[in-house]
Amino acid sequence: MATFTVTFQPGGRSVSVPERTSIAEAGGAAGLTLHTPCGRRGRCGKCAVRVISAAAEPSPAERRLFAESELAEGWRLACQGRVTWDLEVHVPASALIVSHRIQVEGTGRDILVEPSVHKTALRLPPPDLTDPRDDLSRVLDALGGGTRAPDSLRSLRELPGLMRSAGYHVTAVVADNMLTAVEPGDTAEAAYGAAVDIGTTTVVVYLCHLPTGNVVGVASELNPQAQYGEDVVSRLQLATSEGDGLWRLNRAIVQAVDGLIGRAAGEAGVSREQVYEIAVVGNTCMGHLFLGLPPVGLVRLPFVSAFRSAQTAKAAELGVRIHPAGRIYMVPNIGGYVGADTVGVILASELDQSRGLRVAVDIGTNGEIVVAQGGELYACSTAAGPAFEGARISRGMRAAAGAIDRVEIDGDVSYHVIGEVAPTGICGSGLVDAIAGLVRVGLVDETGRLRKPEEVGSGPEKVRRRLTENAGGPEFVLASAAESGVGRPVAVTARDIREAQLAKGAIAAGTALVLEMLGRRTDEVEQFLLAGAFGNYIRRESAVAIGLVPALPAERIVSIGNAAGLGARLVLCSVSLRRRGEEIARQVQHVELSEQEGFYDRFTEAMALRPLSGPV
Amino acid sequence: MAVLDQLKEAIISGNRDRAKALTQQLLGEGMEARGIVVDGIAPAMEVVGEKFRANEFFVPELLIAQRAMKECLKLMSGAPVDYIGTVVIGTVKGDLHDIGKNLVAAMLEGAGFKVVDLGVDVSPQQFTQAAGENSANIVAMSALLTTTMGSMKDTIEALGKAGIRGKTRVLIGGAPVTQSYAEEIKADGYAPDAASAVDRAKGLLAA
Repeated sequence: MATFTVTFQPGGRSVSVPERTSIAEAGGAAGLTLHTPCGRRGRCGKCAVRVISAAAEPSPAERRLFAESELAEGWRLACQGRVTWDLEVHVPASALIVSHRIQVEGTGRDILVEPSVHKTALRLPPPDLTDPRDDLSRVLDALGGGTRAPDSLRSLRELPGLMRSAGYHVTAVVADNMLTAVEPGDTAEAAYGAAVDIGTTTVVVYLCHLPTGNVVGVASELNPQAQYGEDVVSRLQLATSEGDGLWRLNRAIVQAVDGLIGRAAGEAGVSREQVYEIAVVGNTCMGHLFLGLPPVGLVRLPFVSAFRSAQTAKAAELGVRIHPAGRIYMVPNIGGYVGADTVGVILASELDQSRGLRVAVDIGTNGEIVVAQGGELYACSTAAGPAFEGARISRGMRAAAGAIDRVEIDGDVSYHVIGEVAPTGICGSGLVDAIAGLVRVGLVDETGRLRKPEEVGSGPEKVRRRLTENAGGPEFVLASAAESGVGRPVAVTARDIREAQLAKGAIAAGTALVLEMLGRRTDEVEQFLLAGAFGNYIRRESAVAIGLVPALPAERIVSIGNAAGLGARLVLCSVSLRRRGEEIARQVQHVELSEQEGFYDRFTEAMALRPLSGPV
Repeated sequence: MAVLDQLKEAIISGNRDRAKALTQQLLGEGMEARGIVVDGIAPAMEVVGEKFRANEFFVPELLIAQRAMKECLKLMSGAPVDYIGTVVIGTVKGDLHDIGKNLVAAMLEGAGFKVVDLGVDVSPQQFTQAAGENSANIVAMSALLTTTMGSMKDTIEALGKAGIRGKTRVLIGGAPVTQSYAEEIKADGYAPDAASAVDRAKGLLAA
């Protein structure tokens, strides 16, 4: 049997293959995986390559797919062409299967990108007497893999005209193995999805390029439902009382998400019609309100939701404007108020893959805590309150431009502002830093009381003179009126410190209680992960100093940012992680803290501003 | 007495260890438990209540003052105390909010009441049974949800059916609860916060 050499460009990789091997197989041998979705039957055109050296006579399939001029240039189908002499072949990028990976920040981990929605450019053989297949089969055959027909008439109605006017070069949109739309020409790269994190206080949208998993735009804003009630329970009460409460809450969040998608898309130069799927995470209540489901069972013990498993819906049904056939995938909930966002945190942190003892805490309004112990997962929510997201804090704001996010107090006060502009307020991480600093220099005692100027005799004068009193009570000025960007001082008030104590007390007590329930000590925790709202990176030294997290060695405490949002991105860009999320939701055991003895006492204890040591 | 004043200070500022030490000192010097409660703890909690009403103190201050007070009471448990009355307290069925209820319980205890705390998610039957067993003067109910408030009416009916409504005063509170709701369901009193709850409770005893 004769063998011949095939050299592939670009790159110059070459292999020696037996006579009559197909070019596609030769490519495989050379380490180049070519697209062949139609099963190598010459029906999709995806494996089009250009033979640079002398090319063999084109086969009938190639004659139907390529124009005369293209054939003359050496364009052939790799699945059809057989090697009968030495060849040099140019392989365009569009013919290659390239796996993209997403880097998970803060960890060494990367994820293979395999979204549920993908677009494939096709060169379809036009119909003739030997091939009078119907338009729909022509497309489905080219896609191979058992792709199902669309379930809407809209795309079927558009199909015949579109195929013909586009000369049978079209791009198929496939979602969850179903054809949902066909577009003229090659628009395969223009495929986007939105990962949405609906927090009680902050909503974030990450616009992702589906083939690569890259984030091309981010937009966030305060959840507008807050005008109807700052906390989850008040919103639930409105949604279940008579009148149009549920409808109003639903419209508010749907419009917010719709607006954020528009904003992120606009900034990225992407049109709404190029967004094909939305993956959503949020706690159980946020999920119900977004889908417009009456949360009747959630307002009282034993907190029964309307649904728990993953939900899919058409975006149009909800009124979110993306591609007309665009879909929404809602990550499943765990139990009680612990919902999809916690599943997101677990996916992002890989807590489900731990063998030892790991804890993840979401420093947000509902303060969810997840403990992983030898493969078992437990989760609870603590109703911490929105202090760490900037709400209920006198000069509090989200982690956006103008927010003080770092504070140092020693001989004087220094701070860092997001966006390097004049400060307009303070966000969660800045608040934690400020409180830790004030305790350290003795201006705030352990019970959380901000001392009066006359009580503080010694210490640097530059620091002491920042203690003032105004209409709202005693406060500590971080940025004077002149330094700030709003003409008024940015300060931390005595009341702010109390709000932060309530929040951190709830979280610390919840953590201690769950660990005790499992018979473990805090110092046994191998890794303690801090997650939070978008942009929130609480400094671990400060978190330890005020007793928000246990006093573990520094390397064991890691800030992982908006883990819930990352979870949504992972679910958007990877089908296997989507399935894993569904598994996780079934697996996690929900702990109802209100039923645990001693939460109240622990909560009172945990409010003290000092490092946690041993059992709380 | 200077030590008694120091004890009040310690409770008000939530200094648990100091409050405990001072209580021990007073007991060691021969002061009676009753005196410590009436002249030390109760006035201290009243000040805490006033500061709360004046927006000087908020929930955290109440919590830590109450914690300090509980330590003192623990040292004196077992000692004969003349309670001024007995209160059965709880958060109604379906509701699990308890911080407000716990604060009221603590304030009542600090004021000299015997308090039987039934916890959360308490049914009308449970309230009635506990009221009977403890010969309670007052049944105090808390609710934070409009959807669970209705249970208060059910409890009043249950007390009636058990024949003890005449002997038991009903005091209600919680964010959605109002004076007019109290009148509507024929409760005996309503208090908007922990501090005024003590005043109402004392008033109900006299009635």
